[in-house]
Amino acid sequence: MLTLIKGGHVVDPASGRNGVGDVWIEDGRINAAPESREPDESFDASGCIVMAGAIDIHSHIGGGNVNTARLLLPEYHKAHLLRPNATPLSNLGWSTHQTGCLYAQMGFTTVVEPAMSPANALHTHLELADIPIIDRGTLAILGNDDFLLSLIRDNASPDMIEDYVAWTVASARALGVKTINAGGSAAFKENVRTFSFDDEVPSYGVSSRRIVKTLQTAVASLGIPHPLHVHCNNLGVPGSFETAATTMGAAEGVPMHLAHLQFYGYGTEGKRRFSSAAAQLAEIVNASPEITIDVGQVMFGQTVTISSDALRQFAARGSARPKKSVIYDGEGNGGGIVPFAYKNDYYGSLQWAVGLELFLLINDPWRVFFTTDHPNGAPFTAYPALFKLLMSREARREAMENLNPQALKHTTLGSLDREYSLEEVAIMTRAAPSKLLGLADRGHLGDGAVADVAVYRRDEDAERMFGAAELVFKNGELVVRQGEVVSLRPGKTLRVATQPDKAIVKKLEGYHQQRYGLSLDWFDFPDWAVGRDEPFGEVPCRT
Amino acid sequence: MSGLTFTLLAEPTQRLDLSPLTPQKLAGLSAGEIEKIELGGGGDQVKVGDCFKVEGSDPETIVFEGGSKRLDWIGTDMEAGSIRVTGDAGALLGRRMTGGSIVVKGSVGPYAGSQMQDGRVEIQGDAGDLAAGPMAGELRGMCGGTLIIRGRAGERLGDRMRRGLVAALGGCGDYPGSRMIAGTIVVAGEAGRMPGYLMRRGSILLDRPPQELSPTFIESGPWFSAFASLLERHLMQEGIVDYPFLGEGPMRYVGDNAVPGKGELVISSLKV
Amino acid sequence: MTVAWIGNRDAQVPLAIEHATALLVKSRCPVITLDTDVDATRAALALARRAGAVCDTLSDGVRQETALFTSSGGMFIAPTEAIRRADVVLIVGTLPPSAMEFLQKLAQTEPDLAGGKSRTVFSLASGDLPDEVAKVARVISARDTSVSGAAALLRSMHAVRRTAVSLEGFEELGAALAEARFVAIVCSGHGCDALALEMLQGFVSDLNTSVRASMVLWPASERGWGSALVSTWNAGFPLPVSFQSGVAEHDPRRFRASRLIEEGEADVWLHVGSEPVSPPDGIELIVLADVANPIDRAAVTIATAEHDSVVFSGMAGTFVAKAAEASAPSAASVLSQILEQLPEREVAPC
Repeated sequence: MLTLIKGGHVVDPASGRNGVGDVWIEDGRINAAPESREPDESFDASGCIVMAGAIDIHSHIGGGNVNTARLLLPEYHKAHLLRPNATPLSNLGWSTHQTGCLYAQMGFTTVVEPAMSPANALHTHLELADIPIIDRGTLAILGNDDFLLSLIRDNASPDMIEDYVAWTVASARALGVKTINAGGSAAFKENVRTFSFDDEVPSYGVSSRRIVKTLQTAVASLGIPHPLHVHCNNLGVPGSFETAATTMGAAEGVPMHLAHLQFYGYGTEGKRRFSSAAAQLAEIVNASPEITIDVGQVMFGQTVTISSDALRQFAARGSARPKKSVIYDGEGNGGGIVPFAYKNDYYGSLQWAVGLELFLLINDPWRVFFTTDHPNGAPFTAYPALFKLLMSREARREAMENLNPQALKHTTLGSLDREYSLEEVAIMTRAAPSKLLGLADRGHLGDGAVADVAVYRRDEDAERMFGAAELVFKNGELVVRQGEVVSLRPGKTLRVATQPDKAIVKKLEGYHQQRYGLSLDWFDFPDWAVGRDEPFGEVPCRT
Repeated sequence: MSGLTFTLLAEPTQRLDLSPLTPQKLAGLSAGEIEKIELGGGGDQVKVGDCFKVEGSDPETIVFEGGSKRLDWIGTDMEAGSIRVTGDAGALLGRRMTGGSIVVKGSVGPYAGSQMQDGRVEIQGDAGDLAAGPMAGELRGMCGGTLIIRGRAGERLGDRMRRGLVAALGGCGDYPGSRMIAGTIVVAGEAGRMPGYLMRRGSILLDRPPQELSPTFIESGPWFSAFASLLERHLMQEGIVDYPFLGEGPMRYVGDNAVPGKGELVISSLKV
Repeated sequence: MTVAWIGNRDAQVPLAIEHATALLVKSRCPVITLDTDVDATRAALALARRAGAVCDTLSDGVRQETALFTSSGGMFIAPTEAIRRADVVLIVGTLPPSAMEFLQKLAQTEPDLAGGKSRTVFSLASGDLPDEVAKVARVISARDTSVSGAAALLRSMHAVRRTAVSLEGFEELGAALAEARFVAIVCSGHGCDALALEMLQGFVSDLNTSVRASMVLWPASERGWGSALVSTWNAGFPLPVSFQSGVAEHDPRRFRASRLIEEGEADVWLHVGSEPVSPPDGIELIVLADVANPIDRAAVTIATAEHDSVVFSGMAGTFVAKAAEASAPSAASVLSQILEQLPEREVAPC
C-alpha cells in the first residue's frame, strides 16, 4: 500500500530537508521516490510540521523498579477515586497501556528504558511487551555485579570482560550497557554510605573509575553502537558537578554518554550552599566531542523517583513525599523508589533552572538529549511544556516569575536568549538519538527508513503543538489521529546482536552453580517467554 | 420546604456511587435534573431515577429511605446539612466530609468516616473494617470530626487517625488505633487484639481489657488525668454514652514503645 | 486429550467455553480468582476488563504483602543475594512450603560475600522448620505472644526501650546484630500480617542506622504474587482490581474476592489455578485447572495445563520461564477464547 502525507512542512535534519513537501510510505517504510504512482491513501498535511517519530533515549517505563513504584503508590493512580478523577500523577502514564498511548499521542515512536537489571531482564521484557504501539529498547546495568567486580579485581583479560558484557547484553536482550553509580551499590551492601569516582569497593579494591573505564572499553570494542551510558556517583549532592566533570575527563576521547546531567549541575555557593554549576559543565561538554548527555529536566509537581542507584535512594528516603519508599538490594544494583514533589522553592527552582541552562548552553543539539529522566525529574507527559520552554524565552521569563528569585540569581538562565528552532528540536529528538543508539532505520525520513512519522498542526504555542499530534504513523500504520489513539498495534523491543563466546557461558554456568546453587537458566530465558509473536527487533553492532 | 427523600426502589444489583447526592451538589437542582444524575460504581449506566423515587425539595436535609450495603460514597465531601439513611449503607460513608451530619440506622461497609475532617457521623449498627481509616496507599486516616458506631466496628478502627473522636460502643475487631498519629478512640465492649499497634500519639480508651495487649505498651499507673472526666462529660453531653463508661480506676499504658510512640492506652478493668 | 465438563457431564471444550461465556454475559458481578502464570494473568485481566469483573487472588498472604508495599514500602533483598551476603539471618513467623528449600540453603551454606564471616540463623515464632534449619537455628522465644507482638518486642528491645515482657534468647541475637555485616530478616505474608510486616520493616530501618540489613519477603503464594505483579503493570494496580465501574479500581476490602463470594455479591466465579474451591449457593463456578475430574458443584470445569509458561519464583525473586508440554489447553488460551466470544463493552483503558 502506498500512502502519501501531502504538503506538510517537512523537518528532517538527517537529509537536510526543511521545507514544504511530501512524504511517501510504502509497506511500512519511507519511499523517497514513488515515481509518478497514485497513492492508495492520502493525508493532507498542509499547515502541519512533518517529522520522523521521536525517540526517547532515557525514560523509566518498565521493569521491576517501575512496577514497584506503581505498587507503592496506588493512591496516585487516576482511578483511585472515581470523583474527582484527577490525582497528582493522573497523567503519569502509569500502566503499560497508558505509557504506549501517551507517548504515541505526542509523536514518540521509540522509547528506551535505561535501567534493566540483567537478573530481572525477563520481567522487564514482559512489561515492555505489554506497552502498545511504540518500539522499546533497554540498557542492561553492569558495574555493581560481583562477577564483573571479581573479574576486574583479578585482572581478567579484556577479552574475558568483553565476553561477559557480550553475554549479558545478548541474554538480557539489551540495546546497550549502562553503569549506575559504578561500585556504589556494591559498596552500599558493605555499609558504605557515600561513594565517589576514585573510591574503592571495599571487598574488591576496585574503584568506580576503573569499573567505568573497563566497561567503556568493552562496549567500544564490542561495537555496541550506544556508548557506555553513565549514571555518575553522587547524584543530587551539592558539589556533584565535580564528580560529573571528573567522569567526563575520564572519557579520554572514547565516546561516553552521561545520563541526566542536570542532577549533577550543583555547586556549593551561596547561603544555602546549593548553586548552579551548569555553565561549567556545559563548557566541558562543548569542549569534549566524545561526550553526549541527556538533561533530566525537573518540572514542578508530584512525581516518584525510580533509580537503581540504591545508595543514593537510601540517602533520599528522608525526603520522601508521601512518606514511604522502597529500597531493594538486588543482585548487582538493586534500586530505590522514593516519591517526591518538586516545589517552586529555592531547591526546586534551582534544579529547574540548571536543566534549562544545560539545554541552552550546550551548543551542539546532536550531543544534548531531551529527557526528564521520566519520572525522576518529571513525568514524560511534561514534555510538551518543556518544548515550549526551550523554544520560547518569553515562556521561560513567564515561568521564572513564579519561581524563587534567590535561586535564579545563582544561575545564568536569566541571561540566556537562545530559542530552539524546529530543526534543532528534530535533531535532539530524532536524528541524534538515531545516531547515538545505532538505530539507522529510524529518526529520519530517508528512503527505506521505518515509516515512523509524526505530523503536528503548526501552532505558535509549542506546548499545544507537541502535546497532541495531528497524525502519527508507526511502521506506516496510522496510530494517532487528531491526538487520539486509533490503533493499538504491538511494537517490538530492539536489541543489539552481540555474539557471546561459548567459554564465558561455561564459566558463568560454573559460577551460578557454585554461588547460588542454581542453573544459569534461571538468569536467561527463551524468546517465547515474553509471550508475544516476534517480540524483538535486531540492531547490528558496528563493524 | 420538605427534605429531599430518595426511596430505594429495589435492592441494587450493582454497587452504586452516591457521591453526587450531597446537599451542596444538589443545591439548586430540580427533581427532574436530580433524577437524571448518573451514578457510577457498577457496570451499567444507572441514573438516580432508575434506582430511587425522588421526593421533596430541600437538599439541606437528605433522606435515603431503605438502604443497602451497595450504596457507596454516601456523603463524600459533604460540607453542611444532613443525610439520614434508614437502612444499611456501603463503603466509604462520609469520606472526606468537612461538615454536617450523617446518621445511618443500619450497618455500613468499610472505611466509614475515611479521612473525614469535621462534622458528625453516627452509625447505629455495625461498621466494617478501617472505620476512620485511610484507603489503600493513603497515609492519613480521619483528620477531625466525630464518628460514632453504636454497634461493633471491624478491624483497624481509626487506622492512621490524625485528629477527632471515634467511639465504637459495641466493641471492635483487631488492631484498633493501629498506626494512630493523634486523636481519641473510645471502645466500649469487646476489643480485639493489639490496640494501638505502631501508634505514635493519641488516646485509646477501652472499658475492658482487649484480647491481647502488645508487650510494647508499658503500664504507667492509674489514670487520673483531668482529661478523663472532661472526656466522659463530653461523651455524655454529646449523647454518645449515657454513663461514665470507664468506671473507676482505669489503668494507663504508654506506647507503642516499638515505634517509639507516646500514645496512651487507657484500660478499665471493670466490666460493664 | 482435552477434557471439560458442564456440571458433572463430559463436554467438548468449545461447548464448555460457550457455556462459560454465556454465564459471564448474563452475570451482574463476575469475579475472577487467580493463582497462575503470566500469560493466563494477562488473559484474565483482559477478560475482566471486557466482562466488568473483579480480579483477585485467594491468597490472604499475598494480600498482606501487597498491603505492606502500598502502605509503607520498606527495604528488601533478593533471596539469592541474601544467600551470598547475610551473616545474620532471622526467620520471623511461619513461611510457606515453597520457602523451605531456601531456608535449607541458608542453613547449610556460608555466605561468600560476607568478608569471611560465617552465618548464624535465628528464628522467632517460625513454627516447624525443616530439620536442617531447626538443627542450627537459635530459637528466640516470645512465649505466648503472637507474631505481631513478637515483632514489636524485637524492635523495642533492639532499641533498648522498655517492654512488658522479654524475648528469650535475645542477648545472643542482639550481640550478633551489633557485629553483623548484613542482616536478613526472612518472613512472609503467610505468617505475618501487614502490620507485623510493617513492624519488621521498622526494625530493618532501625538496624540500617548502624549496619546493613534488609528483608527477604517470601511470597505466600508464588503464582499469586506473580499475578499481582502482572496486574500492577497492566491495570496500574495490584490485586484485587475491579473493572466493574468501567475504570480499574483497587480496594482490598470492597473487591476482596472471598468477601464478594461469601456475601453473595458475586454471581459468577471464574477460578484459574490449583487451590481447591467450592462455591456457596447461588454462585455459578467456572474452574480452569489441572484436574482429572469435574470440580464438585462447578457449573463448568475445563482441564487446563501449564505449557511453556512464565511464573514468579520466590528463589529468583523474579519471573522465570518454565518449559513444559501438555495436551490440555493452557488457561491463557481458554481465557482468550472466552474473551473473543464476549460482546464488546465500553471500558476506559487503564
